[in-house]
Amino acid sequence: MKKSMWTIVILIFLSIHSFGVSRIEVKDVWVREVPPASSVTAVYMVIENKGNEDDRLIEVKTDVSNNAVIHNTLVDEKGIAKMEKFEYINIPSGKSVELKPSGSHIMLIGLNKSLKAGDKIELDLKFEKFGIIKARAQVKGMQSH
Amino acid sequence: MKKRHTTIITLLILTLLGWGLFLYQYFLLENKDKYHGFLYYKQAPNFTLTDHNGKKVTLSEFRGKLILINWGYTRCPDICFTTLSVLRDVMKELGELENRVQVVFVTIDPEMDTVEKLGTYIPYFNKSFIGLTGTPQEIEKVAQEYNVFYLKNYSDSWPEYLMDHTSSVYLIDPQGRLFLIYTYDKLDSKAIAKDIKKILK
Repeated sequence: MKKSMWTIVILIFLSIHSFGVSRIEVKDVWVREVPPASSVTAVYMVIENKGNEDDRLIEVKTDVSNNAVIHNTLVDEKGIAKMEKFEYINIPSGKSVELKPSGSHIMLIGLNKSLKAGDKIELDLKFEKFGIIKARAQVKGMQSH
Repeated sequence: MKKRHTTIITLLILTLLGWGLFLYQYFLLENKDKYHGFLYYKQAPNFTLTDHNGKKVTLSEFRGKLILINWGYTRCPDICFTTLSVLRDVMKELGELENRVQVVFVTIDPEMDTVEKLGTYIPYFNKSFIGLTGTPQEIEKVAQEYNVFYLKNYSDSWPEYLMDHTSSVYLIDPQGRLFLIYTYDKLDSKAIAKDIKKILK
């Protein structure tokens, strides 16, 4: 009797904890150093959802460019590269999603200053459920990746 | 009797055809294994465009050198940047052979990519790289001859437009033959350098 009581208590406890939690962690955030002529660059990162509810990245803001857009690079079977805008990126619970070269990335359009390797920029990453995460991204040159 | 002869001859022909097909594929596959890019093998169409210093350049001027051509535009931070970085690494892998190879970047966005723009963009990757531009008509002609596709891609989320474009790299051998094509997924600096060493040997 006592044993089953405990089981119920534990089950209730667990179910409360497992209900609707999105725990987002962002790491390895970096920005590509671009030649001086460029007014666009890309941001890459690893986003991990340690909670047990799916979440999605829905908006990015930064001071260094006029616009920050979630993009995906696609190379079709004819070898044609296309960029498409994504409204969001799904971050499933318990999964890690990598934004990387030739895949999904945050494109910064209309840079208002040139970014040099070693510089750091601030980004606000907005997740649908978890809210806003302030991330700091390091600018990396060609040598460092 | 005659019927039997016909059967034997038919069988013989079929056997020979079978063998022929087998050998053909065998050598073709072996050839494919030799290089990391796709074999193309045709005379590379010649063209004249303007380089990033404003000078007219004709492709045939580089005869005797191996040429790697890639197509893109300077406002493309992901694909074009990655491609040019790979080509930069290829040059590093080559060591002394580096000066027998010429990397050429042809813009498929001539309206935006002026001589000045290319001049600040291309040397960033490697001082020896050449960026080429021209009038929209000139670029269109070259692209057509090389089977290169490009299209303006408009959206509210970016000013002006971006370009969809062919992301493959073309290898022209020192005799002026379009020899290999590397699709984007095959862009590996070590593999390309290996192919180049084999060709220049």
